[in-house]
Amino acid sequence: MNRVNGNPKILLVDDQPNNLQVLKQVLSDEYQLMFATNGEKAIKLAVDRQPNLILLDVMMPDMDGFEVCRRLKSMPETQNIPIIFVTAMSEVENEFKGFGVGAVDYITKPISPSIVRARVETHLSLVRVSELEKTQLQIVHRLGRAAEYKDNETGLHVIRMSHYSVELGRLLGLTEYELDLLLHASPMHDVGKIGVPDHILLKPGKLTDEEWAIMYQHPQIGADIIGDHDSPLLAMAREIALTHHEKWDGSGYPNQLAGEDIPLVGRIVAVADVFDALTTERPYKKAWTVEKALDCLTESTGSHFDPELIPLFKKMMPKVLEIMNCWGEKEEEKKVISG
Amino acid sequence: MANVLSQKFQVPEPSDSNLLNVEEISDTPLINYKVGIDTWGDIDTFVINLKKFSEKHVDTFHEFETFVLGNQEHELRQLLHSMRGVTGNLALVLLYETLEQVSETLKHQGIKPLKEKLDSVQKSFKSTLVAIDHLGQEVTIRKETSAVDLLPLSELVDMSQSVMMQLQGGELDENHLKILALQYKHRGIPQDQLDFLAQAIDDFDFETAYALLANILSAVEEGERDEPGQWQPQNTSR
Repeated sequence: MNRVNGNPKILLVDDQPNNLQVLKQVLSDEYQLMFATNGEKAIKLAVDRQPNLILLDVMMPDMDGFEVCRRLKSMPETQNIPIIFVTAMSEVENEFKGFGVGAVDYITKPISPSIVRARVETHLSLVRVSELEKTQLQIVHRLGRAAEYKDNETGLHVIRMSHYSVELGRLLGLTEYELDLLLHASPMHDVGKIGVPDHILLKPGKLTDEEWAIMYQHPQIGADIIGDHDSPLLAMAREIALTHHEKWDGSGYPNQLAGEDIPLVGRIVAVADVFDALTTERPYKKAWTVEKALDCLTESTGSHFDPELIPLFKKMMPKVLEIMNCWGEKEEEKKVISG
Repeated sequence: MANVLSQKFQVPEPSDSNLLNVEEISDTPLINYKVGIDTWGDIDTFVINLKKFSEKHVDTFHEFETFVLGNQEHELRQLLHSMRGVTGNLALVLLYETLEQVSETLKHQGIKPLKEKLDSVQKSFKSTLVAIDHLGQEVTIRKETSAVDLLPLSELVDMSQSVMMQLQGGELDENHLKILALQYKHRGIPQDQLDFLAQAIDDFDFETAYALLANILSAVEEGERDEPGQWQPQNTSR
């Protein structure tokens, strides 16, 4: 959260100095305050100073609070700043209008100091939660990329496979919330590779049995690194890390799960991960064409992959090509795909 | 009526008097002190803001009357909106309730019936302002009594520029502004300029306050150039 001197920043907007004065009195001990007496100044300050919260009067000359709110919500740099309307008007229709233009709350004048403080604190905690979530996602993404840097120079693999996974999940009817989790959890599928020595991970050519034995441990290592959490995101990430090398016929690793005993997200990521591995260059092989990779997936339907998933994956091929084009490893690769 | 606005930045004078104690006052049908003190945090701040209201709204009834008689509905709505907020925040019970009723009438019956309410609105305004004035006779605004150590010019310039930057960013640092006002006064800046500055700050008109500070600062710097050494750091209490 934006803080100077440790306090969150609040922008107070009202054309009446007395109203600003009373809000200053109520909030100045806890927060860093900024003041604006009209909409134009408020918008400028919001853009320049990025307050954590805005308390906005509705009825102001020239530009009213609804218009100020509308403009702030239309600008990328201010659209996420929560806005609380503070006004002498208490009619229900105005509240609806306020929420309609993007306000998060509504306080009527004359204000009650305890209500103002409580509402402000509530909305600032929501901002903090949202920022914590963003930070959590950042860490999760970095963790996913850490594993990729170990065996892939660009880290683009995790981006492509996570988008393939989401598109496949969409065709399987996952909710937007589940798709969101899948998008952020799937990049961590190979985090366990951090525990695999480079001479095995980066070895050109086939691995020996002993080397495979070490390689087989990476799903469990990944699950251990992620750990057990209440967070749905990390719980899904752990499930994916642990099960994305299981096979439909029970011949996968580390736990030889079969069929629907393999969690759906593990089955989805297995398809996305293998397809991307086949279509990109690796130390031990050149990149396959999309057609050849799809043939390979088809051949492994029912043995390696869930039989329901491969037809759906083929069906979403235009989307797959779009993702490959957007996140291709090389310019030449992009041209081949798009050509 | 004492000029409360200018007292904000007034040069300190020795005084033993304080504002009213909470125990000394009781709620009236005009002013709900309990609510007002709760809203404004303490009685000093509450009374100061009541006085500001009284000064600012001496002629507001006439404005109201003009809008009613001239059928200026939009202007009247704006005025009522502002006044309801302000009187509500100041716990001016009678006036707030009167203006609420006027707003309801305007909303449901239009502006015409308000002509019959002019007398009662005027009475509410008058009795409220008289009550605040009466309060003014009983209280004296507390004044700082500490001695003023003049800051070196470079520090004064730094502090002024820092406060000006804050004003540009919509922020108000009243503590530093008070220090600056005292410093400027002791460097010969006339009280009326400081009153303008206080007024701009009270109105949250930071653009004007910035411009006034810039003028004051350049006057101080000019004075130092014209008579170097005159404003060397010194303790005026010596």
